[in-house]
Amino acid sequence: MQRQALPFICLLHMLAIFWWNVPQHYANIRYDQDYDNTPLFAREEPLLNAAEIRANHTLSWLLNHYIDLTGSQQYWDFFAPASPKTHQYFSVCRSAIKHPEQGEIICTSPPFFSNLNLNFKGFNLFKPNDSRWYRLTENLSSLNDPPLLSAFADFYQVQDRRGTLKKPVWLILHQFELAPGLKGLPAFGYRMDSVLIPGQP
Amino acid sequence: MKYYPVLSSLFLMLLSNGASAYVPNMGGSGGGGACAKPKFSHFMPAAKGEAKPNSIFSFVASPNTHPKSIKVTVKDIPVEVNTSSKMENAFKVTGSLPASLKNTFARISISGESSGQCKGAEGWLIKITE
Repeated sequence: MQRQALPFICLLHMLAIFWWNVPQHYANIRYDQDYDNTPLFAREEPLLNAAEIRANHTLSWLLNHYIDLTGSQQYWDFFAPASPKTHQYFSVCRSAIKHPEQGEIICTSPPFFSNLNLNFKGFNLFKPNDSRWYRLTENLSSLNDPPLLSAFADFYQVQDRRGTLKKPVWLILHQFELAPGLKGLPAFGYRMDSVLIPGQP
Repeated sequence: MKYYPVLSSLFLMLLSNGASAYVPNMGGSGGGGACAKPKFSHFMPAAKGEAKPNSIFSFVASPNTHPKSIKVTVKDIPVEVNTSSKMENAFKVTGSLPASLKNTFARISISGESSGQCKGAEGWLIKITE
């Protein structure tokens, strides 16, 4: 029975990853006006149409939850365990202050975005969105790709422009290492925060 | 028609791995070939250990490391290091902790490259006493 189930599990895994790689909700993406008229777009559109699954479709629900559940473990290539040495999260905020002695950078305004969850109450098997945030942080920080980082910060800068202040936003990578055996180290560990996109002081 | 579950599984896993190659750094084996990252080990002082300011630290770099690519920082302060000639299939790297760091925790961070511009990074935490 187990051997017979294996191909179906593999098929689900393969299908979920293929599905995940297809841009979601591409219909809402605003291309440059000129791009709509190119031959490349003419060929691309039917392919994306064929791959799109309606949001309320059972298959869409299943694949979405599969990726949510396994999102932070996809590095496994199935079975290798992940053991992050350094913990990390992002903050996007309007103003920040550096504390070089502590290796810490703190937002002095309410962050537009932060994937630090201080209200962790337990793991919910059916709402594991944290794995997506974890994956996003890991990819953005490890790729160290300035255009990707700029795009991420720009999104929140546009949000900020809708408000009253029009200042560049800070994109901060917070990293810390917990070393329980190191006597005297604060409970929050050794901080190694860094500014990825500098805003205004 | 005969059914081969194991062969089917292998085929699907290969396809799946190919899909993951579309996502950068996802772990897929496709799209970049093998990359033998440099490895660093034998840290002195040991991780979570104590050391005095300006004292010597050392580590061993794997033989595939380009010695000139090795860069070391201690609590974000760049430190000059000496790399021994290749002995017993490894390089011994030594340096001095910055004299300015006293009574603090510090991470000795190493980065280096091997052939094919494969980058590796490692590091360890220590306590620097007064």
